[in-house]
Amino acid sequence: MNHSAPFRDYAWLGLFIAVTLALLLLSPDAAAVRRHAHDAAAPLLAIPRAAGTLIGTGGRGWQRWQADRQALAAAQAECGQLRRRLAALELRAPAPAADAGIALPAAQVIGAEAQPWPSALVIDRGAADGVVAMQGVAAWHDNRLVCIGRIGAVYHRTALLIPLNHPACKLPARLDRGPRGLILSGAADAGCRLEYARPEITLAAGDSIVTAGDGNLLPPDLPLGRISAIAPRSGPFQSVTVIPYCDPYTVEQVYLLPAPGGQS
Amino acid sequence: MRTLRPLSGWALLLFLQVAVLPGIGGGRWCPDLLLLATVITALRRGRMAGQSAGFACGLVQGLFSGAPFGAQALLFTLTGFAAGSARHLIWYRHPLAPALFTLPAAIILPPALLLISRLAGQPTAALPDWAAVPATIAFALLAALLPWPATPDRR
Repeated sequence: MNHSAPFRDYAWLGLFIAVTLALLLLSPDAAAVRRHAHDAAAPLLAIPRAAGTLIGTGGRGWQRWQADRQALAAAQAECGQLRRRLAALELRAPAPAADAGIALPAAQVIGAEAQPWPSALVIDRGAADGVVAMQGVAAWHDNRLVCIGRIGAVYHRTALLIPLNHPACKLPARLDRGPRGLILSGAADAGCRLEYARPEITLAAGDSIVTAGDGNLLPPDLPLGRISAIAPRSGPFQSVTVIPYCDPYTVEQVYLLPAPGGQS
Repeated sequence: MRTLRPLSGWALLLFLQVAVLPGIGGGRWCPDLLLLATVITALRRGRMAGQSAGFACGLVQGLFSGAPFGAQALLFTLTGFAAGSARHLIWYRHPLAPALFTLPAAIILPPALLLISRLAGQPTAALPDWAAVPATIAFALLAALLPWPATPDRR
């Protein structure tokens, strides 16, 4: 019996596994895996790279490193100044908390969901900050707080803001100083539609629509939008188009309304 | 001529696997002939030939599947090695031995492939249709009827 055969088999097995793992890591699907591996290895790779730079360029590498370090310190100082200026500007901004009588946590809109318009927006507050699904979101517009949508999916540090005109957004609404029982529903390009508007309700273009406060979902009497058109009735309910007061896609800072039922 | 015959056999197997069998029954009952060939090679010729055949079959399978390239090669190589190593546990020249070894491999491979696909950056990868398992076993039983040439008993 050839005693080197098992070793040869294991060696070939190791070679095959190494080749297949290399193929797996080089496949286009594994780009994310490679990126994570690169990020994890970056601190380790930085040391030999820096040493190689210093050795390879003689004394010039050290001077360049010092210059880079000074430039970085200057950039950090400038960043600190800008942060202080931003904080001062935020202090001078109107305080929505005082207007609403409650402390509202602020959030920044940091992006939009990658899908065809109308897309949900991404805010920089998530479950770790106490954000919960269905929580109302408002923005400061014309010196008052107006509702611009609700929270959809909640992740650890971010959450999706479903704007009022998003087809997935449906909120209980009512006519300002009028009857309840209406639903404001997103209608994409057309803005919003007012559903379940019974014929006996007198509506006119320009009327204000506010939150109803039904189900403790949103605080009551928060402005939502204004009636822009009322089409001739073809069914049991009136067909009403509502334009939101505030275009959510132009807003940078939003305020999180109290969570439904005081969850957060 | 001695090398031409096995090569033509592998070519015929590949042709059946990628061109003929996927068209039968809408592809749902398509057996994994390359897995079967890997197991039979490992049983008849040992783990070295088994893992080599598995590596080659896995690479070919990877070309025609949506899984990350290399995943099948890894799994088929391990299958060939395992079947070749474990063949002495049973009477591996028995006609039903390929079916006995192919069944666990056909059951374990899809979840393992799914796991590797997820790890390699395919979050939407899903388990394939399990109908391929009985089809593969049926072909393993059919393979028992073939007149296999005698091979020397190697480790």
